[in-house]
Amino acid sequence: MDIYFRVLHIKWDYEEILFYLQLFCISLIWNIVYFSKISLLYVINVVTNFINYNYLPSIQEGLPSYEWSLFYSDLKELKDHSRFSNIIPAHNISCLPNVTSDFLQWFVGFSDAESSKK
Amino acid sequence: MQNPQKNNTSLKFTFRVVLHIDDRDVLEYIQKTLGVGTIHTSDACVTFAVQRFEDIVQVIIPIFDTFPLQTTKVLDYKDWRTAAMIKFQGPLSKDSLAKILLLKAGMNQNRKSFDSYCNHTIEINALWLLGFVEGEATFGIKHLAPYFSIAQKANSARVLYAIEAFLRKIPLGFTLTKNSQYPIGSFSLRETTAVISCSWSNIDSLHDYILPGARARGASPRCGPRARVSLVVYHSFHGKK
Repeated sequence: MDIYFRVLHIKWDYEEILFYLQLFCISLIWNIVYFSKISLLYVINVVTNFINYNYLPSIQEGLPSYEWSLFYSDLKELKDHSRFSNIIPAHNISCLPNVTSDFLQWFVGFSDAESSKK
Repeated sequence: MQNPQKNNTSLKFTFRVVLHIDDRDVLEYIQKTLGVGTIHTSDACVTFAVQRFEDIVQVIIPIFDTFPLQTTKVLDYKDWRTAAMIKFQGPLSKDSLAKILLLKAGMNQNRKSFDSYCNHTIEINALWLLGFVEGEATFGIKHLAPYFSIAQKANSARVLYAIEAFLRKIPLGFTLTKNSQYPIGSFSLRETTAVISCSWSNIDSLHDYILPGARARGASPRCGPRARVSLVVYHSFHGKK
């Protein structure tokens, strides 16, 4: 990198700063883990979750808590079909070319609960 | 099916869903999406009904043939479909009419035998379950703790067992809780009404598995808000944000 900084009269390049920054972060996490006696896996979990949900509009809008933000994440999660493995693939019902199999399966479940046939 | 001998009219088939008037939007959405049926309101109820025979043969029957019903309602559907196909095949003879009336006499409330349901393969998937939950599930609060339950007539107990097994396997949707217990339902049978119910009341499994699962599938005009309210109420009582 061509960017140089002069800190304490020592010339450090950008990559060097990044390296020390990483060391600092790792040591910070290690200290938190060591002194608070919580598992490293838990910390990784928290960081991962934070990154996963960081884009949420609720956070951007400054809603009160992280947990509340989850309630507003529907739109993103709606697209996340991979979480369920046994979704029946789309079927073509000739008279309903524009109706998704997602809706039809929901409709059949709903009918199982509420419908009657006479 | 209307009895043609009684009122001297033609044989009529009806598929219908009756809900409380508050849920009219759901039925309007269904009507708009399928492009068939009518909606009418009476007192506190709103009804979506498909009565046009062409719509029943071309829309309703293909849907339930492609995506089978899972409860004992499938037995009524099979009889109803058989009757519709008899009518579809041409002018009704006395024999075919008698067969249809026999089928009608053993359907819905008049059904005595559920033996053939034992041979029905139950396959639960998330979308079917979401629709079923819309109609049959309860999100409630008991002793300041939320619960989620589904009740069925005892002869549909198999479907409840299948749902319970399915929910045990849904993926963890919220991973911040440590050692969250996966959803295990507890069954209870009310002998006086022959109703069996399965309920889930562990707050962590509700919050970490069931609610994210419902949200991921796009819940829902009716149950989504109830589930959230239950959990929010629980959190407010227990000091969580």
